[in-house]
Amino acid sequence: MSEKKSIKDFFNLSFYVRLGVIVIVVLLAVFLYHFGKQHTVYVDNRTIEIDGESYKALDWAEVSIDGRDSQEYSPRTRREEIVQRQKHTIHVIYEDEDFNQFEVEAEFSIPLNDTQVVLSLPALVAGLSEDQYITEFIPMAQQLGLNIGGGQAAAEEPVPSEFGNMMSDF
Amino acid sequence: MKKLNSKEFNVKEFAINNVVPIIFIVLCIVCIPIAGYSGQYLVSQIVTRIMRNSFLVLSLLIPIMAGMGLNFGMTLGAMAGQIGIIFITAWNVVGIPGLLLAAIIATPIAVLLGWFCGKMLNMARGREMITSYMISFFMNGVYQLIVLYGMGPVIPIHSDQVILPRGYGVRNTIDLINVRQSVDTYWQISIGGVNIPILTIILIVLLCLVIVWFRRTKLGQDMRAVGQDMEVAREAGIKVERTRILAIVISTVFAAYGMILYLSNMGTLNTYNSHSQIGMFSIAALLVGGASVSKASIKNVFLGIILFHLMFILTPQAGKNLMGQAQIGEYFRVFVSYGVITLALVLYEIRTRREKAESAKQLANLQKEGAKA
Repeated sequence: MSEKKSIKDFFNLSFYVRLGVIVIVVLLAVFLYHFGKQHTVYVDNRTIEIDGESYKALDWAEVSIDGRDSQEYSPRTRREEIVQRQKHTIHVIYEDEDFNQFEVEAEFSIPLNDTQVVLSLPALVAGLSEDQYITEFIPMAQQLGLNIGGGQAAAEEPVPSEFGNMMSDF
Repeated sequence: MKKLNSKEFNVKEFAINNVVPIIFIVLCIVCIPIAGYSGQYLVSQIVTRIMRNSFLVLSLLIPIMAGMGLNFGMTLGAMAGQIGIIFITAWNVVGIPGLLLAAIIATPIAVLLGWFCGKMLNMARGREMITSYMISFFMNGVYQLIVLYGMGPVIPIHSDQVILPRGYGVRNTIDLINVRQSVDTYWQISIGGVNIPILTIILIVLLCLVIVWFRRTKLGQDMRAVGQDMEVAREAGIKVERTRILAIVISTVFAAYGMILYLSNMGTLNTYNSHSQIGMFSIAALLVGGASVSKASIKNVFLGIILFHLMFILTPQAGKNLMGQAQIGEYFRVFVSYGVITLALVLYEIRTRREKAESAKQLANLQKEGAKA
């Protein structure tokens, strides 16, 4: 006759070890998600209007993110920077109309679920808050509700295979 | 003086036991000059394919050890791996952290599918291979239902890179540019123009060591006992059903990891086909290496991958050079792939029957002698 297991037998050492392992794996997954998530930052030097106030594009700027090679920006320039993780530093050297140089260094954090964001240089150097100079990037076609290329994308795409073309019947 | 237990090398017996690898070696030797590829190209291709496929083929060893034959159910693990890859692509988690996250996501799915498959195989004892083959077809339907209709509305995935423009269902092809060869290129050296991915080699060697170590553990010994004779193992107090389920679960989890490595090396996910192809080819590669339904080793894995993939590389070009059409080589490798599995199964059956007949003959002789005495 089989003996019934009591609650005490169920919550034994091996139960807690297994529970601990599961918790560690879940924490590792959360860490990997934060650590490995890639974001595209569009560094934008265009005149922007925030809360009814206009911030003029910088005449000249040199921008470096996370100590990478700096890139030059003239008015109406937008460049993409691909970064991992949420927290980053930006270093901006810019000139005003009288060719006076200024330097700004700021830390910013990208919202976790935003894959693409726009970072406005004029808003950043004006000292606005992070949620004002960083906004989610929404493609123009999506803003206008268009489905450009959707039909083509839905069509069958060629699939490269290690085993050649004849193997699809496997 | 002759040693009592020494066996003389018998050429005929050796040829019969290794007929499949011998056929492939001859085919490759014939095809190499016809195809006209350079040695460096062939070596580089073989290295790439060993790195890509080893993990998957190694995952087949444990069920063979437990006497469950070729695990066609490894497709289930491949599906789990693909689901992990789909999620990390949708979440835009890149590089090695992305692959690790995919492995973490795939593990519980693979465990669950492996457990289900193991349960089914316990119910269909003696017909494990055909049952696992059918389970893989059945689960393929479930996978397609989830991926084609569940992802989007039920499972929240909104990435344009993954989801079809209609708003639900995963695209036929997913570009894995974010994880492409991230393991292979992490630590790589070049020898004579051939790139050797050290980290991938370390992972494969680790898995080989785990398999060698596992054979010596209590569970590994139990599996071998179950593989040799289930009833004797049960009499010895081994939980046969549980051991068999564990063999399939371990194989499915390894297959999931193998699929993640495979896809990261390929750089493209063929959402609705990759997994079904990979099961068949991994099994074919193992059989080409000289393994049988009841016996396989790490040596068979690597020999099989080299020979099977060498043939895959050579035959289209050889066909083109001989007949002017690469398609002929393509046909050739299709029938060879199916043929090698058939041949291995037939040879296994013949060998089993011969062994049974011999043991019956021995038993009859013993009984005859007993009656005379």
